[in-house]
Amino acid sequence: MKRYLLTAAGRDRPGLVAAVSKVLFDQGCNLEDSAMTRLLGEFAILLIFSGPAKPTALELALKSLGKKLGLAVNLKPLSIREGRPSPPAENGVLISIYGADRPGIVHRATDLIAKSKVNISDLSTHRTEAPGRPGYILYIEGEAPETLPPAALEKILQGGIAELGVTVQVKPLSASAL
Amino acid sequence: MAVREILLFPDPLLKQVCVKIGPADEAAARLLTDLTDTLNASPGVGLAAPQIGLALRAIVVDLRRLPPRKGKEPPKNHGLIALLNPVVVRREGEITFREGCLSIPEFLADVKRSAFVRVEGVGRAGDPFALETEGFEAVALQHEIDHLDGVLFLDRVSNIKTDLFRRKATLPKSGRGG
Repeated sequence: MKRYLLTAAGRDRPGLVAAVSKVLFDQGCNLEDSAMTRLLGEFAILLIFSGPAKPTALELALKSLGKKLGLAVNLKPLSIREGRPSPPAENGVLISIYGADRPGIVHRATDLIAKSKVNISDLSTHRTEAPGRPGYILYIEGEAPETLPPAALEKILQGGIAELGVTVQVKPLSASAL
Repeated sequence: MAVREILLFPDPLLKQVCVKIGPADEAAARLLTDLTDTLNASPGVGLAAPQIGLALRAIVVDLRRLPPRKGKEPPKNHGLIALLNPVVVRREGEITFREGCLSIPEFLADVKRSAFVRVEGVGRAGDPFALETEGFEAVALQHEIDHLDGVLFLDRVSNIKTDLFRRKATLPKSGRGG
C-alpha cells in the first residue's frame, strides 16, 4: 500500500464527492485525511488516501472522471515520511485578524508569522459585503515555538501590520477536553 | 420613535470602547427608545448603542422577539430589558451557543459564554436595576455588553474548523440575531 494526495476542484453541484469516492472505492483505496469545502461557486477536495502500490489504473480512472465532470484532478504519490501525521501541536495558537478589506492582509500577516517560525496548520478567510465597505476576516491556527508565547506573537503582528487598520488577536489554542 | 441605521462590520465604531452614560436624563431615555425601535424593526433579539452609531454604554435585549418554534416553549426571559451602563457582576457555568449579530449578518459562530449571569445597570428612569438570568437571555446580554467594549463574536471564536459559519440563508425580516 502507498499513500497519495488527491486534489480535485470543479463547479459546485451535488454528487462530486460521491463520484470521486466511488472511483477510489472501486480501486481498493482507503480514505484517511481530508478537507473538502465549497469556496464561492467552486467545490474543492483535498484528500489523502492509501491505495495500490502501482497507481496506473487509478490515474486512468481519475483522468476519465475529471474529463466527465469537468474537474481539475491531480494525484501526488507521497513518500512514507510525507504520509505520516504531524506530531501533536505543543504550542498551538489561534490568530484572528479582521477589518476593512484591502489587498495585502494575508501576505503581510503570514510573512510575519513565517518569520516568527510559526507553522500554519489551518487557515480560513472570509469576505463580508457591507454595501460600499467590504470586510475581511482571517483566522489562522498554527504551532508557535516554545519561546514565543501568544502575547508576544500578538505584539509582533500588531506592530507589523498596524497601518492596515485591522484588529489582531492571538490566543492559545484551547485543548478542549470533552 | 426613531429607527436608526444598523452599522455593519467593518465599521470602526464597532471596535470602540463606549463611554459610560452620566445621569439617566432625557437624552439617555431617548437613546433607549431608539435602540428599542430599531430592534423592533430588525430580525434580532438584542442591540447595543454602538451598532446604531453611538459609542455609549446602552443595550436592549428582548427575547420575546424570537419567532415561535413549533412544539417548543420560548426560552425563559424578562421581556424587554433596556439598560444603561450594564455590567456582568457575577457569572457561573459555561454554555456554547450559535450566535448571530445584526452587524455581521453573513455569519454565525459557536461562542462559549457563561451559562448564568447577574447583570447590574441603570434603568430608563435612572433606577438601579439588577437581573439574574440564564441560557439564551444570559448569552444575549453578554453579547450586547461585549459590544460596549468593542468586542465582536469574531473575537470569541476559538476553533476555525468548527466555530464560524456562513449563514446558509440571508437573515429574514424577523428571526434570530443580536
